[in-house]
Amino acid sequence: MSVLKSYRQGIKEAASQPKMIFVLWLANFILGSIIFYLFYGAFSRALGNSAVAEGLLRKFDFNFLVEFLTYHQESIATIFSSVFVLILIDFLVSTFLFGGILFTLTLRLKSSDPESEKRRFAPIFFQGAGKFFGRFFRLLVYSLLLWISSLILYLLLNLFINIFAGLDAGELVFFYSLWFRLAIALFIFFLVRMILDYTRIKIAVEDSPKVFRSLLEMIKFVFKKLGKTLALYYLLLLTGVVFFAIFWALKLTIPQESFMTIVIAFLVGQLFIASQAWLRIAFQQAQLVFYSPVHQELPESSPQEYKNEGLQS
Amino acid sequence: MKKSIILAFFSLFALGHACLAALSQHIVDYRIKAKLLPEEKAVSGQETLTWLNDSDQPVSELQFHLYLNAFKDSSSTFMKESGGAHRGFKADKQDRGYVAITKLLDASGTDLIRTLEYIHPDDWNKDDQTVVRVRLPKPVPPHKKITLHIEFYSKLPKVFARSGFYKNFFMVSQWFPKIGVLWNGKWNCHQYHLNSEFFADFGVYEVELTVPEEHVVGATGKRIKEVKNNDKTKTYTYYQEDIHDFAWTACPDFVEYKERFSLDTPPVDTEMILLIHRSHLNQKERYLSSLKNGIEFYSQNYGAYPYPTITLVDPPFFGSGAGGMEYPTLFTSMAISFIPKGLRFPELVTIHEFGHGYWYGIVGSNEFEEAWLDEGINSYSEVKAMARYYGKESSVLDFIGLKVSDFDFQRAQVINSGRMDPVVKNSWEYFSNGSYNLNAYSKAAVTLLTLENYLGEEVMSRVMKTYFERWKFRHPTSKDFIQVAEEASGQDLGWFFDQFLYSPDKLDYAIGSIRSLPLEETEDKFYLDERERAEKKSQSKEAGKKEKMFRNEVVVVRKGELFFPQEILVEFEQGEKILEKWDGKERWKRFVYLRPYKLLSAHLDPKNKVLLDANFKNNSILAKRNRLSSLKYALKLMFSFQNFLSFGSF
Repeated sequence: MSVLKSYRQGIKEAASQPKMIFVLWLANFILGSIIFYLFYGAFSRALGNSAVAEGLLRKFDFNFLVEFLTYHQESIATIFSSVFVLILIDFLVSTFLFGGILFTLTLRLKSSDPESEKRRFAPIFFQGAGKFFGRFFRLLVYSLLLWISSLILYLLLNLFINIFAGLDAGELVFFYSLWFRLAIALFIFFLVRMILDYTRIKIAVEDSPKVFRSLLEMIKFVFKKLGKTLALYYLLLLTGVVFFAIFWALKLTIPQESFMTIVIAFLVGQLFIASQAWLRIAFQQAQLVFYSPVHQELPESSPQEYKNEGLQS
Repeated sequence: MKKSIILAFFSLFALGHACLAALSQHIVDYRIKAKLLPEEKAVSGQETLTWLNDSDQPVSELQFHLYLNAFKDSSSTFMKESGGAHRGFKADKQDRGYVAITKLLDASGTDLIRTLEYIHPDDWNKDDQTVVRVRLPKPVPPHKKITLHIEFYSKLPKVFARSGFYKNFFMVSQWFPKIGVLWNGKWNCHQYHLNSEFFADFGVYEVELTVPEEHVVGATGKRIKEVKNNDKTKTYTYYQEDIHDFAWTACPDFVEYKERFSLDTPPVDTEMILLIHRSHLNQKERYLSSLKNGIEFYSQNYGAYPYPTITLVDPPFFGSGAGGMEYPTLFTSMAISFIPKGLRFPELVTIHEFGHGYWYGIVGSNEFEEAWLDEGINSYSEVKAMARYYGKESSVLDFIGLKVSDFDFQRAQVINSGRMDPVVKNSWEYFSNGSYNLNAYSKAAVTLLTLENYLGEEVMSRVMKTYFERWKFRHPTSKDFIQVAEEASGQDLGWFFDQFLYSPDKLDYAIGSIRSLPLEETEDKFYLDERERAEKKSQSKEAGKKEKMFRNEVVVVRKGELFFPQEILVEFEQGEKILEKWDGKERWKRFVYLRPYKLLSAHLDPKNKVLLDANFKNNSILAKRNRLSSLKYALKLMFSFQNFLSFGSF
């Protein structure tokens, strides 16, 4: 399927999944709430009844920041260790949710009655989440190999760049090379993420238990269709950038100096987070659609449960 | 006879004129011929030094600084103290630096080289070779001069701790055998330390510099001659009086810009010379405008800039270990070609280093023993200059909505300090490099800003002008500064300086508590009988109908060891405001007010004058807590974390 068609289908399908968007947003919100609770407590303790709080409402106060960092190091240490734990939890939650997203989307792609799954969202979503969690977790572990190889590749590329744009090349060349190095790092980062996306899609579509093999096959697949897979991925990324620009412009218009404006800014922020959840689904759907034509014979090769679940409506 | 009388008259006139024109007492007179050896990364030199024994005692030995020997090997005091690192730069073991005296003769031609002896006045490190003693065959009588001829070879290190080379860039500083200061009858000639800069006597420098002709040269003083040689070199001669050091730089990649700067009041006329590295040409205007601001600010606030030139050197990025350093009439700044305008680092460094020309260059402070007299006073001046030209709240940073002032940065260091040292201390004896920096620079600056708020801007201006005027071209001590401050302000400031210059302790006041207790006329006093009690009860009921009274209490506490007079602004519900004064000496004080209304807030130091206070946050209490700020920033951070997780989940 063409890149644009996959992109359009991805966007469209994601928009028709409000419950899925809600689940993704909710998981993110719950983890974020813990951070809110910790920071709110720390700031409240730090500020007490001080009049500094009133000034802070109007503008950022560097002196308060320094005093907070100096005199409330225990709170900061607690927050940082909590952040670390929450990130680990998020890894597991995301891995769990990926199963639900892909199972639901794959099912809808194969089903002749797309409305059927909508009525039974939760059982299908969480069944898929549970079903693929083990495999996707293994993929997470195997992906370390990919990440480490990518890091080595990046370091080698850096050594190569150093030959032409190292410290001896002069300031301008060196600074341009920093941007170039950053671009390469991002490119490799997104490439690995894309490979992992396709691997998860393959595992879900084929209900394959062979995780490592799927990973190797998808590396081959991505490099075979590198131009198209990249084009689709970056088109979706660009959509995210557009959302970000809109959000930023909107945010600038909200002065957070009263309870109402703080709440409004918060709601706008949550809408932006929800839009990211939507985009995450769009990523999966678009790539799923792009990958599917390669497996036209899916219904036959896929397990019976897909057909059964699809027909249960 | 007549001819000789006329000649004598003219000679006397010339001498008198010279004496009148001299701004300082010329203790030293250096005539140096130096040649840059680019291949060897070295300088060979010949130095004729005439030194005046200004003491009342005969002097039988001379002491010299050989600063470059700090980089000779890892056993020098500098290297031991620094671990081979300075300002984030590591010393290159392949390219060490050193200075070797190859010939030392007195005026009669007597070879003195065998009398040379390395000494270690500060730490007994026998491996340190940064100070050398010369025993003289016969003492220099009081108020007489001695002339020495010295030949030396200075190998420059790869740029490290202010000096050295990077490729074809050369920053040649602390490079020649330099005589110490005979001060109060003793040699003041300290070893080169990590935490210290320099100290030297005023005098005259005439220096001939021979460099490859493609090099662009900048140096202390005014260029008075330029000769092209047959061997593809050029010789530049620089001359300057009333200075106490000489530094120079050479690099073919420098682009030179010259511009005159003049002021009517006070009268200033000087030539600004900018030597900017090719890769930073887009920073030219930032450098020149901040240099103009610096000259204007220091001239107007302390005294007219007295020299005919000021040279600003912009080193290449990878030679920036030489950046951010001052020498008489020449200093190095720092920039990168991509630095956004809102990050005012080039401006800050330029104004700071130019300012050193005042508090180290013109006022000859002893940076070994009382570094704050230069670093601290200059940081104070820099905070004020940056605020004047770049905005009080955003003088250093005004970038993507974030505004931070120079003062904010200085204070951040002070409140983060471990309080291990006082401000006044021998530089090399501070607990750590961090302690030296925060005390000599930041705490001293915040101390002077607090003093200014205490005395008032006008009085402080008088203090600074008097200090500069009285001690320019001389060597002051902390006591001299204190004396001037007391004299110019007409106040005994011993309590202030004793605490803030000589104690490492903390200043922190807080509003301990505020409360408004409703007052009730009590009817059950033990001495009342039943009838009286009932009567009282009915009276209090009637009174309650009229007006309810509150006992409003404000408790202020001194949490730190140091004291400072305080003002407390107390605000009530009905708009009443009371400004209380407290000498701040006790550990706490309670203010009580009987009012028919409650307290609204109490603010200690409401005009934010006591900048040394270690915690601004506890300087106020509101009766009604404001939780919106906590909500706002906690939600912001929550949102950032949500974005982080969301991005990670894609």
